[in-house]
Amino acid sequence: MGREMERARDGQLVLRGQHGDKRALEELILLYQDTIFKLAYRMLANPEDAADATQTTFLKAFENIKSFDPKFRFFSWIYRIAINECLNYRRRDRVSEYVDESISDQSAGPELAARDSELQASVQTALMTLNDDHRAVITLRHFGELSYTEIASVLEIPEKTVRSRLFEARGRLKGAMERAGVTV
Amino acid sequence: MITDQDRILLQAAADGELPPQELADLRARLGDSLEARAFEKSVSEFNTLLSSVPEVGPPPGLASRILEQIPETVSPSATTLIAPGINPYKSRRAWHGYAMAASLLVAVVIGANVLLPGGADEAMREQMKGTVIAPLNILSSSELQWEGGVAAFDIVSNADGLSLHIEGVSASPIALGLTFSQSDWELRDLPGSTLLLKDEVTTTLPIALAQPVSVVGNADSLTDAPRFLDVEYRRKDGTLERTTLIFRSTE
Repeated sequence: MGREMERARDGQLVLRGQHGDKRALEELILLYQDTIFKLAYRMLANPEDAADATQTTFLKAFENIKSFDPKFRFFSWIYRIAINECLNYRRRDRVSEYVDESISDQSAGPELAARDSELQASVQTALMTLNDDHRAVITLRHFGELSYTEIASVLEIPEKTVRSRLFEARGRLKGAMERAGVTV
Repeated sequence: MITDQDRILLQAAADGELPPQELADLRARLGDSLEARAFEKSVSEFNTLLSSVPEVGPPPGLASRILEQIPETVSPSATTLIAPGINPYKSRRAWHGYAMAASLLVAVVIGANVLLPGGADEAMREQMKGTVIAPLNILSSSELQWEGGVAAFDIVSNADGLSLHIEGVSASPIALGLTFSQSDWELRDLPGSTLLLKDEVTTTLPIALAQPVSVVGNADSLTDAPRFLDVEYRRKDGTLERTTLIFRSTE
């Protein structure tokens, strides 16, 4: 489904949600819970914190859904809420510096699973050494698969800043991964 | 020697995010710089490495956990409720028997009102209790199966015109995105392009046709009936699947 179709679909669901249709909200949860969780996990490095942040993100979004203008993109809005929620978590020091190594795909066979697990842990450890701005831009680009324009919209920064921030963040991430023993 | 500014632009180029004019200017300025090429290649390789990091998915039951926290201030859903036992599809599919038996049992024990959302007022309850689908003439059908679930899609005609009738059961919630793709027909006013399938769902979506059509009520008279339906659905592991259902005449 193209971005425009997604936008139209989301707009319809938001509109229904604004009129109190809980099913529409349920659909929005099902459509976005994976992406929001993924984003939160990369920001917080802990599956439990990520699940809590995902839950709070949706609840905050739905609490304010009546004030949302459906002509804007729902995903930009909810991503923004998610990023802020993750930053709040970190500021409140609720995040344990914990990297879950068990999330890799065990069905891929023990060797592949072990390699995946190692890569997963190294990348996550390296991500956690970045500052919040850098981690957010890397997460949105690489794990949220957003374009520069979309990242600019979510983070409310100019597109040129996205370019330079991403450049700096990648450099730092690469360095951290090399220090963690990953061949980059 | 390339500068950091060049590297920022080369990175955007490797990401496919540099507008054509800027890209042309960059290429013209850097010419055949080996350093530039090596840098662009290293960005691509780094991107590939990051994309190989295994995906993480939310814990099971997260959606339900969130839903439980949403206040119950909802209006009735747009889904058409069909009273169990009078469903014209009942005997058509083997899988359907289990689902219908379960819902029939619930309806008999607790009463039909249990099917209504909690916030529905009394008048709406009365109206919904009387909802009976008129006899449907099934023109063509298709079925979609995935791990833990199945849905049947039928193009049907009744007094109201054409409809897409969907019945399904799913062990875990699944969102179906629906897009019609029949080339000769433009179908519009399909209310909601995404359908949530959780446990058991029976819903009818009216289809407004962009061109007049004579629907007499059998497959032969509707040779141009919509025949393809693109369905997107998210699997349990989070991957998005896309498939095209081909409708076959039931005659």
